[in-house]
Amino acid sequence: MAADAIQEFRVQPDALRKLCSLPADFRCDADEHTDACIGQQRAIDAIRFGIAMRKDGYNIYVLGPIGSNRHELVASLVAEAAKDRDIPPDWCYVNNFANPERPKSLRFPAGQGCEFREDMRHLIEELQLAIPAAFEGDDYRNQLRAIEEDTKNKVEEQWKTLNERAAEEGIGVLQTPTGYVLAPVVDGKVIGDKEFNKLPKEKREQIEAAIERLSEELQARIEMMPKLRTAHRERVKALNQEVTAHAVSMQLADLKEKYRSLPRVAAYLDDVQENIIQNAHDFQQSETPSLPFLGRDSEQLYSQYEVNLLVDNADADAAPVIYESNPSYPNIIGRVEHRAEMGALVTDFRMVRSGALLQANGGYLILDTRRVLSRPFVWEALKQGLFAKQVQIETPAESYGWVSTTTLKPEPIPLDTRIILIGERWLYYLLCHYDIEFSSLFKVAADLDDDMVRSDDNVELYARLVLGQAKARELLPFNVSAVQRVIEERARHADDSERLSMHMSSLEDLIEQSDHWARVRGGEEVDAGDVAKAVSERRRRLGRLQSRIIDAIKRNTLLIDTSGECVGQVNGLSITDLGGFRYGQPVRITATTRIGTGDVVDIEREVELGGAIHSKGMMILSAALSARYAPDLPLSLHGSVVFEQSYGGVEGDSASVAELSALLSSLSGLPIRQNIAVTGSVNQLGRVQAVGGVNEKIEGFFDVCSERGLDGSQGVIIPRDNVKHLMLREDVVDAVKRDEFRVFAVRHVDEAIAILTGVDAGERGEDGSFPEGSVNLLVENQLIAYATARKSFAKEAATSGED
Amino acid sequence: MAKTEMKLRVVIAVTETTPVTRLWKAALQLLRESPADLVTLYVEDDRWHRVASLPFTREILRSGGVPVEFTRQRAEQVSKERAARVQEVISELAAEANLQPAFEVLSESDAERLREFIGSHENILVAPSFISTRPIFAMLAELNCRIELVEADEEEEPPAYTLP
Repeated sequence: MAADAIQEFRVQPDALRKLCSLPADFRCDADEHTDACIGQQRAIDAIRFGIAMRKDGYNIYVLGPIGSNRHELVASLVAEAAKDRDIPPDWCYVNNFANPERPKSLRFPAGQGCEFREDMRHLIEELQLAIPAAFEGDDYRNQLRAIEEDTKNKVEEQWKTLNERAAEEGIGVLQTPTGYVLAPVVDGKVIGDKEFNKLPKEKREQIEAAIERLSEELQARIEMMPKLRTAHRERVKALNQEVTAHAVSMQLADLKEKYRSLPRVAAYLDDVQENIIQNAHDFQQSETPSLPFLGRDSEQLYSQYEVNLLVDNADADAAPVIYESNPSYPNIIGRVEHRAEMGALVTDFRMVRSGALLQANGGYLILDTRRVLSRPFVWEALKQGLFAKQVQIETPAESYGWVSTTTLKPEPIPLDTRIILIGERWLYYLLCHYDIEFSSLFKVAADLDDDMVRSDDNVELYARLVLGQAKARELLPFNVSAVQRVIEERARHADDSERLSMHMSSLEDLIEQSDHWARVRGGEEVDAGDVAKAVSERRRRLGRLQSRIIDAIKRNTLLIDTSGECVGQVNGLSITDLGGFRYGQPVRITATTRIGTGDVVDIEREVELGGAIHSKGMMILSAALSARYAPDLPLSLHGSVVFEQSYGGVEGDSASVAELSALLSSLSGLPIRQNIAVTGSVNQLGRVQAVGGVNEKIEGFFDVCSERGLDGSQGVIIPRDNVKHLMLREDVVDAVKRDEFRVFAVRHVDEAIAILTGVDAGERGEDGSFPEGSVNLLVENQLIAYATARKSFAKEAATSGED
Repeated sequence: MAKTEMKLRVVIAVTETTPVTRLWKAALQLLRESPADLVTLYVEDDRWHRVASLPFTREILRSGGVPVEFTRQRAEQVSKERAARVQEVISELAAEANLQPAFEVLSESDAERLREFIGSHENILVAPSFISTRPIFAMLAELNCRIELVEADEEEEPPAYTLP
């Protein structure tokens, strides 16, 4: 191929890096700044839609990579929406006197929960004084004394009449410590067996009969005592209740009136009153028992009327917006705490704690998907709450039925929280695929764009964003050249000269580091040099591996030729992604061919070092060969392609142009120039297609060539469709400008092989044949030769088989 | 030959049903007037033994249930328990006055021993006024000792039944 013909494929220097040029009237000191949400209108609209929808299931999943400003975007939009929503109610847990294991929930208008808690606290303080005072009053004491007197009289009456009857019959009732003994009395003295036996038989029988009869009567009266005791207690209890009721009703009257409009609260106050009256006796004992297990002390007694304010919106001026950075089960659902008491763990309604779901009730809860999914039980509990539209505070163990001990099961609280999950795209797609409930609960996907079109308007907006971010971070002022340089780097970050990356954290890093280098040199503002320094220093910090690779190539440990020619050998380009840093490097690809059955062996795949896409690319090569050459004959080729000195996995099809070129070289016997590296994928028709990481790949080969010395012959072939992605380093662009390095852009593999071999690929003429001396004719002839040879081999084999 | 000086002794005579507070106060008054040893003389009521000797005596328990036989052992136990209760009351009173009186127990039927115990003229017997009605104290008038009768309440049994 003639040298001037090659020139048509050269990419001009101005297309290698699209420079940024802000309008002449652009002022860096203007106060007009852009917020970080530019270019995200689709996602913003989606979030606003999800926020505005008042139906169930319109929870939002914000898809976007880490560093895409997704939290700030969501927080600002939600905060804006929260102002327009009503302030949600307060929620309290109170004692369920009928079933203390099931605390009752009470709902209050915002701010009244706190008020109610204070009211109840005040009530308790009042009761602590009023009830004991009522029991210490003369009125109560007199009534109690009257009851005791009455009971005592009844008891004494029982014994008095018995004693009198016994005395009439000459029988004495003697008391032992544990009971009674009936004994005959003669002349006021209890007689023994000697005196008794001296009595006439008739008298003795009479005494025995009397004792027998009186014993029965005495037993009957003893059995009556518990009834008297019960009756006495009932009367005392009734008196206590009456006194308590009077004291309590006076204290509670105002509260009942105040909360009359809240039926559940009013009912609870009735329960409080009833409970205090029923347990009036307890209120007389204000002293703490000597040992904790002997009885309830006054603190315990009054604590059952306390209020556990779970959700307090007293100070809220908008609906709640909660971001839970640690979405563990207790932090999301809530928990029931316990305290150690005499070696046992005890709890009550006061120890129920709310989680983020309740704190955000009536508002918005923002969660990180990855964290939610990585915390045990949280995802299921979250979904359960959303489906049931209520929050049931319980431990996971209870939820899954793993514990059988009695514990609290607080009344569920209705849930009206809009959940906003923030996570990576792949998590969203996994959830959609594997969790059949996900789509019905998270109906809104807000997909953040990774980049935005580099239009003039957007560039200006972006420039304002850069200035705004710098100002917000109190950095040195950025001058126009610095802003332009930043914008160029953002295009490079987007891997596209026509787009600007919206990855905010990397932008923040860049401007912060630029500011740093400006300060290091003692500048008063950040200029383009500082930005360039930030970029190059970062590359240097992260470039240890790349340096090692270049060093290995320089020392011929890694065999990469950058001069000369070789049959069946081509420089491909690979890219290594180290997370926040990517670099390209040349990789030697070799191909061998011989007669065979039409298969091209991908050695990477054979040893399981090749990924699926790479394997697909290799199969396309086979198809391209079959389709383009000797279509009437079976493909009688055995080809073998390998990435030399590649010891890790190979993925992607961006080397398929290089691989096909190596195969064509091997088939045609034409050597390939080693000062040219190739990247690009190819389809079955030989069309070269765009690939990723083209900038890094070009720079990777450039760096190797630079080490060995640029001579103007070296260059890289890239797909024509990748030209728009070019945002090459300035040193590469400068080398191209000086004609020390070249970048070729091709649309078809024929163009690539022509550049690589210096021989025209050749197009099939009207007669169906390729031009004489062309690469394609040589390839086709070789394939025909293989097919013919194979046919003759087959005949020989058949003949020898017959023999 | 010099006369041997005998130490003065104040004897409080009580039975199982004697209220002791007034007796105790009277004894303390005597002690303040002249230093003396203090002895509580508990006279056992032998009615428990008499009633236990009857074959048909049963104890009807306050807690209910079937009446149980009232044996001599049970009589002994009841008597001791009564004595222990009185001793407990005396001990409490003595502790308040920082005294440690001796506590002697005598059987009601053992009049001879009683005479020996309190017959000395160096003794002052503090007894309830109703004590003379008890047969064992009939000999008191014959004794050559000073007797201080205290107007105490009537002998009284504890309440027959107290509601808890």
